Amino acid sequence: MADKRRINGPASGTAIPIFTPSKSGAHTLQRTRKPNQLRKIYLQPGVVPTASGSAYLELESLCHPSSLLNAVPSSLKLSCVIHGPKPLPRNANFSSNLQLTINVKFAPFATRQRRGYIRDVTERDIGTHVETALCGVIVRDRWPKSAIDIIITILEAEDDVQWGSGTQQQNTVGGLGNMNVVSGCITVASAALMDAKIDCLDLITGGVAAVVPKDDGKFVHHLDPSVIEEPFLNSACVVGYMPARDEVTLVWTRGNIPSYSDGQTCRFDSLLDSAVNAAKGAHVILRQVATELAQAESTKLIIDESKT
Amino acid sequence: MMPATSTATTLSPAELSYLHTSLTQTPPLRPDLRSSTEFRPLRAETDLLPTCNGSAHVSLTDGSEALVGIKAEVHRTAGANVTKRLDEEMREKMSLDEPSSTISAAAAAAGLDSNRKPRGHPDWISLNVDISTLRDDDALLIFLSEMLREPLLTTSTTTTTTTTTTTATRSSSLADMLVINSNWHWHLHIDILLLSPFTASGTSYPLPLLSLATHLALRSARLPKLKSQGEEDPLVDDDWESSLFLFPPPPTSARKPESSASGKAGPNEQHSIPPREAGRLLTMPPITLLVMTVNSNIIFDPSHSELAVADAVLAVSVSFSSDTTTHHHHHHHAQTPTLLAVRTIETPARDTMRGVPAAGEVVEGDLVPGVWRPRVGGVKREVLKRVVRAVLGASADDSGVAREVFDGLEAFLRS
Amino acid sequence: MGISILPPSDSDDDLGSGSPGSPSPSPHDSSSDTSMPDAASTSSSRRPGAGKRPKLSSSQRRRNRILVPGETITDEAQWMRGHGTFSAAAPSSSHASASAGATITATLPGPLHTTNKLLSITPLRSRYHPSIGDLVLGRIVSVDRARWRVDIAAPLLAQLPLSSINLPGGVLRRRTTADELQMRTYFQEGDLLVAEVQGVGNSDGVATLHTRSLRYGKLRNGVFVRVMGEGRGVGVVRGRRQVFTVATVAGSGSGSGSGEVDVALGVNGYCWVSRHVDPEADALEKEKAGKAKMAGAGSRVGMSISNLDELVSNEIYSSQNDEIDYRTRKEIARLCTCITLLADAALKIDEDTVIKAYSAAVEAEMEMMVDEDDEDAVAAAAAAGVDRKSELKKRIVQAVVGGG
Repeated sequence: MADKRRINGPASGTAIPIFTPSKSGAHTLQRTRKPNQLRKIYLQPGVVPTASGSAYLELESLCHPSSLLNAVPSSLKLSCVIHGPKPLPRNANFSSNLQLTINVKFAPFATRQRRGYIRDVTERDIGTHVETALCGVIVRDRWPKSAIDIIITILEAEDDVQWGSGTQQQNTVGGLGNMNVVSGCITVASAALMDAKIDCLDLITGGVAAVVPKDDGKFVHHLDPSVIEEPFLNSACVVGYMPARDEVTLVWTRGNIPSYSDGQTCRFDSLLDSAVNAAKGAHVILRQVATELAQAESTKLIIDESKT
Repeated sequence: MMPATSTATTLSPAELSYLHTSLTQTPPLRPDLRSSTEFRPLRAETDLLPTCNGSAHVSLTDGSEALVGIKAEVHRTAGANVTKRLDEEMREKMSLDEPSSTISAAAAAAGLDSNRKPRGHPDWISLNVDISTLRDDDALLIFLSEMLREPLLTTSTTTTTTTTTTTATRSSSLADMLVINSNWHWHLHIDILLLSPFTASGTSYPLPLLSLATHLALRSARLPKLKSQGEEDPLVDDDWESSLFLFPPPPTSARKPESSASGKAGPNEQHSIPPREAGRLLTMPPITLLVMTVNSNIIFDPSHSELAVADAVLAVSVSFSSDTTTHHHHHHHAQTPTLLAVRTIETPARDTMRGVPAAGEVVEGDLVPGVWRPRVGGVKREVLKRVVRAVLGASADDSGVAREVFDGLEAFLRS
Repeated sequence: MGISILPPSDSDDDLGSGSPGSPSPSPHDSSSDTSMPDAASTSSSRRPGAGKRPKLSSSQRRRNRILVPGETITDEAQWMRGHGTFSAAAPSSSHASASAGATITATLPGPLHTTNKLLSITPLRSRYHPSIGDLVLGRIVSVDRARWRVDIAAPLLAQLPLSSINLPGGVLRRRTTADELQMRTYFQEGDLLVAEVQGVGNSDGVATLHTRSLRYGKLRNGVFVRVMGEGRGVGVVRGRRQVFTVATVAGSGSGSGSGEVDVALGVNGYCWVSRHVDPEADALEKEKAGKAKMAGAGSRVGMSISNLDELVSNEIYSSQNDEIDYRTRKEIARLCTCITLLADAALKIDEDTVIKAYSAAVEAEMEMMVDEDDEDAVAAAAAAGVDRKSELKKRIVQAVVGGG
């Protein structure tokens, strides 16, 4: 998406730097977790006191064993802030439902390659996915003539491209980094909504699953895949899942998924179920966090009442 | 006091409730009496823009029209020197009796495929959607262009058994077909224009129209034939008649009046770009279908009023790939459908007003039949799986909706 | 059933007979304007030597000639200008003729109409312009203070004042501020209603609507169809019966429900096709089902000003649909398709043509119906009859034009 508001330099100018692969051995990490084991999640609501609701999510960081310059540890750090519900502007049309505005922004230092300040295509795309996921879970007709702003800032994210392996990932599905971001955004927004005391049908969480080919030609499903651990992917899927209703509000798959299974190839059904399992895993954490939050608030209330 | 742009198309709760009840019947009763897998007829035309490598114009009966033009330019490959040097270094390092998997992994690391030909890069395909009534950075527009672009970049991998009974994974994508040599490649610009005005609450969602137009344009796209060989700077043949199709044309296509006028035999002369390896994959560009669900009914090609009451709306991208062995050249039969992408789209039925019941206020949770409630929640997993099954076909024999659409396109291109 | 992809078509419509919409003499004219050819001829023949300037004459040829913008119609003083014309004041000349008329030129393409001394040009297809007494369907766009803004497919939004609707509690009830605050309980944004144009503002042309009769009000139990444009001989025609009932195929053989379908055609091109509501039968059913009785329904003898307030209850503003069975829904959908096809074929839409089109559609389906068990027939029908909509259109046109 061209930046039309500034005078930029010529589009084709210098050649981009290319990192050569290291000569000293393997630069990709091998996945040490079990296929159905998620990375550890740290989720804290209420980090921004001035906002109506907020939350912070961080995933366990996986480090390269080597000390190379281009060895980027993989992690995900997201912060979500909610303002509202606030009244719609006077000249806006009447609406009997809550209007959502979702803003996803990468911090310039979030990825290996610096991102500018203008919202680019990826951010808008991720924002649309998160909006689709959240619109289904908020009970919107409780807030007529109102709007909320959900602002998600990505402080650290995985690149789609694994640096140092030539021009790009071969034999793999691009965009896994973005899928992990979408999944994280859904979970963190859900925690922030709960913190902002907005009525939701359920605690929605995001989950990612990928289909990875093994050496013997079979495929295995990896939950919560990380870009630096998975050099070869067949397909990947991210879902936004509501466990209590057993419903899915967001589905996004990429890659080649053949139609029917002959025992060797993957299928859509099993990929969807794996992603749902990943979401269920994250839900356990979210539920724990929710209970702790509610308990903390109720003890605070008891202390306040006992003072008066 | 001029009418706002979004008037005349929001529906009243009574209409929404009526439509929804009609669509939940078995079989679903659509407002224009179509069956649930029936598409509205379209008019299409290919190869109409003289300055483009490929073009298509598609229009629907409800007035929406799309025009797609494909232009190819020769660009220099960035980092080509590095790739070559890497490859040489890798080969020096390894002895020749290393198992093939290491060699291919090394080649992959050097940016080459297992046959040591340079690989394509997804940046070589730029897709741009232009809708006159929307801003360039409108979220809907970006979502649409991403949905149309993603399936084009998919690498398909297949395992083919060679005569020496070792299994090798080969993969190719559209980008790989754009390689000229290690220094030069074709850059494909796909420009999609929605000619009819589109307001967010007006005409139906343009995705299937744009996707079909892109598919037809890609099928009709041709690249000039290369006269240069090997690593020379590219030089192409000026004769357009000898140009090669990007995707293989259907078997009997003798449409071109020029070719018959110049005396050449029609179909056999126009070959496609020779496949990179014998196991040709992704023989056709993808198609994106719009599907909606209402309770447990699945409805294809929804019109605007049907979308207004949808419980869930999905965009499903499908293509056909063939599994072949190395010695086969025919790849028209035995084509299996593959799912390239699935995306959920926000359903407009969420942002609607409640209906007014005849008797007093309705308590939340009390479902009064005939009174419209805005949709909440998501879609059940079972329904999602059924949607995919309906698109792809439940088994090897059953032809899903995707097969019907592809057959229709094939029949059109052949005529 | 699959997808059908056709090559582009050359012409718009291939109709069997003649060109539609061409102004044909008297039947059309008599339905809208009255034209007095004789008066025109006597007046123009009184002025000999008027030169080669094309004059208004009573000949058929003149009246049916299509004028284009810029063409001079006349420069005689006696004519008044109407829609679609422009009057340029003649430069003051030294001649003493005080009656030197302004030159009237055409500004729109279309045939010329003379109504007494009024010259006007109504184009073949144009946007709807409201006039007093029109029955229109409209959609609420916004809720303002004490009135609603309604979209009636006119260049400007119409207004529906709070005082012009029936409020539960009686026709003579005073509109209070409480009513103003509760406006959304009557009509919300997006609601569809049928109303009559009470007046058209002089200065700005904004129509004012009213729904002060039980014939008018909020619409439910049906489907909305939009027909574009209004013009002479095309689209919904003024003056004919616009609200009528069609006895459909669904009525035959079914025990419950009469299968009758109401069609309401608004002059602005908005139409509503719904299940027929018979107040007495409905009231009886409701009593049987034990639901709340409509006020005064048991002893309904007829609508009059005295018992209007009994009949107006909260129910007229509800958007709750009744139960409509599958067969009736199918017939409603079929009627909608007929109306859309009539509009596509540029035929006028009124009670006759709709009923003719509907019977043609029913016949067409009977013929094209195949035995479901016979797979070959089904496959052949699917392969050959994918374009059944255009086939249906041809048959409807034949039926309407041929019969009418």
